[in-house]
Amino acid sequence: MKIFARNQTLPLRPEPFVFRLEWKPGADWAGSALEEIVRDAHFIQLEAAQPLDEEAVDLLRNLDSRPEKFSLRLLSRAEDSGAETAKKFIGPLSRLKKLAAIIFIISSRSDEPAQTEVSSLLSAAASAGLKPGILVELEPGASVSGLEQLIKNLRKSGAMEIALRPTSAANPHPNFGKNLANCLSHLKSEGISVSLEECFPGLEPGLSALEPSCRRAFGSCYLDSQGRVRACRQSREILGDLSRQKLEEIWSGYLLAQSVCAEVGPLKTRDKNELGPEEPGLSMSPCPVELDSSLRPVPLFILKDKKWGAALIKGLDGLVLSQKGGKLARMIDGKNTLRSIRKKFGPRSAGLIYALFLMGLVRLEK
Amino acid sequence: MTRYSLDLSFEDFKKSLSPDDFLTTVPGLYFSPRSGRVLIVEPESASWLVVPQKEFGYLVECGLLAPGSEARSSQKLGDLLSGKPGLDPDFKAELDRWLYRLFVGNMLAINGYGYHQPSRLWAVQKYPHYFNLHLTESCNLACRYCRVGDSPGPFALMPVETCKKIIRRVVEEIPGTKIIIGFHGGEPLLNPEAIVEGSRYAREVARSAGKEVTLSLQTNGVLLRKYSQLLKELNIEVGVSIDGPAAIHNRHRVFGSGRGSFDEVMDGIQAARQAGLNPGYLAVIHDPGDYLPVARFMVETLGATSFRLNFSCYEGRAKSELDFDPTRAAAFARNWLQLLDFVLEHHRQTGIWLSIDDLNLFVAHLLTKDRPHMCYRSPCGAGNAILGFGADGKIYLCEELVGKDQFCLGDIETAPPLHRLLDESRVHARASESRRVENVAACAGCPWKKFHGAGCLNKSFEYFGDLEHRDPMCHFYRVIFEELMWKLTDNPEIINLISYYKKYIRVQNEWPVVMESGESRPGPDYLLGE
Ligand code: SF4
Ligand code: SF4
Repeated sequence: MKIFARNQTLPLRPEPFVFRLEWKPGADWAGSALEEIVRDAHFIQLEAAQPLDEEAVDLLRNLDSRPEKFSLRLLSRAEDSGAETAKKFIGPLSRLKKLAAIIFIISSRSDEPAQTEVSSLLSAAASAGLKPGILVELEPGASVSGLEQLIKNLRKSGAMEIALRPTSAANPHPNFGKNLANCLSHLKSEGISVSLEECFPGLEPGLSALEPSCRRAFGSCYLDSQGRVRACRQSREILGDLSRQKLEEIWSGYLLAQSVCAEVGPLKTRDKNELGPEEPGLSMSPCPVELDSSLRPVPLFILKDKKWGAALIKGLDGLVLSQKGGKLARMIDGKNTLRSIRKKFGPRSAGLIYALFLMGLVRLEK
Repeated sequence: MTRYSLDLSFEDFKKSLSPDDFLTTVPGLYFSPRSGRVLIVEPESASWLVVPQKEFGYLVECGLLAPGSEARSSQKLGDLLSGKPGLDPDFKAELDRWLYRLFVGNMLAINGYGYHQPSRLWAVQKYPHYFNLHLTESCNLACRYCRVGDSPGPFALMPVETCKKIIRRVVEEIPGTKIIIGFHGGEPLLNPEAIVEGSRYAREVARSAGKEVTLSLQTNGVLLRKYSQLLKELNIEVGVSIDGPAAIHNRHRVFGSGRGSFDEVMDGIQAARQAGLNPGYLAVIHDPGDYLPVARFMVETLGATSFRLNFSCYEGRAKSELDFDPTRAAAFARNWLQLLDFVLEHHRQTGIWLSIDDLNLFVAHLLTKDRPHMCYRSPCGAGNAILGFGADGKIYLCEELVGKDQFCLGDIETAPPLHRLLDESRVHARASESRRVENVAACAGCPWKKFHGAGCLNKSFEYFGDLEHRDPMCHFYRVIFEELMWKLTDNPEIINLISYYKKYIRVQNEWPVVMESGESRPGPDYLLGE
């Protein structure tokens, strides 16, 4: 078991605010570890490894009634007996206030009856006021045109979120990258956006349509049903065991990302010129465009104070700032103008605000 | 000319463009493709646009729209115009027009910001203008969905003195020049003395305070034969609850014995008309299949051109007497949308545009940023547009909340000046904060959040037990706003359905459709807010 220390020279990962949990009855993290998760979480995703049951719904109810502010997302298998059971639970699930989305997992190989079943699940969930989505698990050798049709059909049936992931890390998809990228950008040009739930081993990196929402262990982690902490579902490296350790022992401030996520390499270079996570200090480049100084930045993020600075969180996304950056972020309240922020933090603060604007973390208003 | 004036024309926009302008995509847009077109909704400013598939593809290719991306991408206008050599020439010739459409819909930022400034768009009133008095919690009917339930409070009738005190205090202590006093209940006609005394007194104190007062009353109609003449003399606007033809009405609007009240209500309506009243009609729909038959009844039997159709809510007696399937919203949406064809057909045959609440209002929401009806603002009107008063003189945030301790602000006998009561009330502050659409977890990311506004505080409270939930009929709103957008695109004459709302809203640019004139009734009572 490793304990990682803060290091300034490698890409760093702040402690998780996104938790992906694998659920099975009697899951080990459901005990005391849950307290720690709930305290830090901005987002908890529960993936039911088997058809939903009362126990899972009870757990969700329990999480929903917690005073802490976080969102829940439920992933549930739609095939076999899963669909019928899921339908039974749609009523109780629709009463949860924190449940931001319910995602039905379907295989890219699923046949017509299975697809019809998922369609009816989607519409039942939507009718009850839930936000339904689908997660397509790509089997090796899946046909891209079949995938495109499947996605279009399920969008039509009411899937508000569509994501893809490989069946497992052990199933690489060689020679698949270009086709998949084409398929996704084609869908995009028709107004259907598809996200990658996880990385696809074997896909060429850097294709613009392929931004995995796992965030490459940035502020997120995966817990299997035995309480073992990993960077993501695919990662084989076990970082710690929540049934025996505290999360802060496992993840002390920052993690060296390269040690936990093979995909961080390209991220490091990509992030270099942004206010990326690898530089906890407030490094500001001048603003490349002229912004009207009477503009008021409106925060679209939630700010979490950390002992090393602050995390700005929006949905699954986030940004780490130093303490000085955190102070600046606190001035972003929809009332202060760029002029007043610049007065306090100097002319280069406009560069940071512009970076936040480009990351979708602030909106500018007149 | 500034590019950010709210009446920006395309010509002025075009003149103001410069190659140095930087264009930035806007994250968080909602996209919905359908039969060769894509609907785009910008949730923060409640803007929307339908784009043909081909042009949509070009806009994505040009980097002006980025479905699914949470980040923004930026480019100089000059680079866009000179780059992209392969771009379709017809599209390129129209590019200015597309930039304009995206810009006025806040779907594209120019030099960092958009045409609408969302945080300034959605102001709510500070003080209420509508005061709803429960003259009694008792009733002569026992409707199966009644909100009051079976056990009226200890004060069966509101004492005349309490009624007058409420009226004097709201007129004198709450800022504003136009006020509405609504007599509700229970059945308000069970307390005729308070109606007579209260109405006269309201006119008197309003006159001496230099304010304009409107009086209204909502009745089940059973006692209208007895009191119509009086109501006419008192100049009170009357609304009657009638659920449709006998077979539908008598299902739920029943006397304590279980017998339906249709005959008595129809008789009351006839008496009201004979007395020269022009009552408004309200039906409560519990079975969504009733929408069309009820609308037909309103038009064909009652001769109404303006009426309201509400759906039943999970509260009071309804909780035990009726069934509320958690997925019922879908059938409501489907059937409700048929009203649109009904209204269009009626217009084709008669030349008259029917005004059905809230069909008229929801169409209006697509055309304006104004939210004339308090229930669809964020936060809703509870405490800022309306106050409710119990028969015992207790003060509540809304008429729907009368009798619920959690929403009680005080007592008319002991409350400090009412404007101060509202300014200082923690109950009011907490409710307003909780019901801001951004603070309701399920609504914060909803494309329809500024069209719908998270829904009714009371309905969320009754169905879910707290203020943190979305509207229990959420899916209804999600469906109907999107469908209305498609329908309005294909059939711009639907703009005429906004009926009396056109007096209360400012229709934004891009909708230069000339509305036909002709109006049947004044707007309902909650609309006079300043
Ligand atoms: S209640 Fe539903 S439709 Fe209304 S704003 Fe909330 S999520 Fe959107
Ligand atoms: S939404 Fe409900 S609580 Fe709010 S003002 Fe309307 S009726 Fe009252």
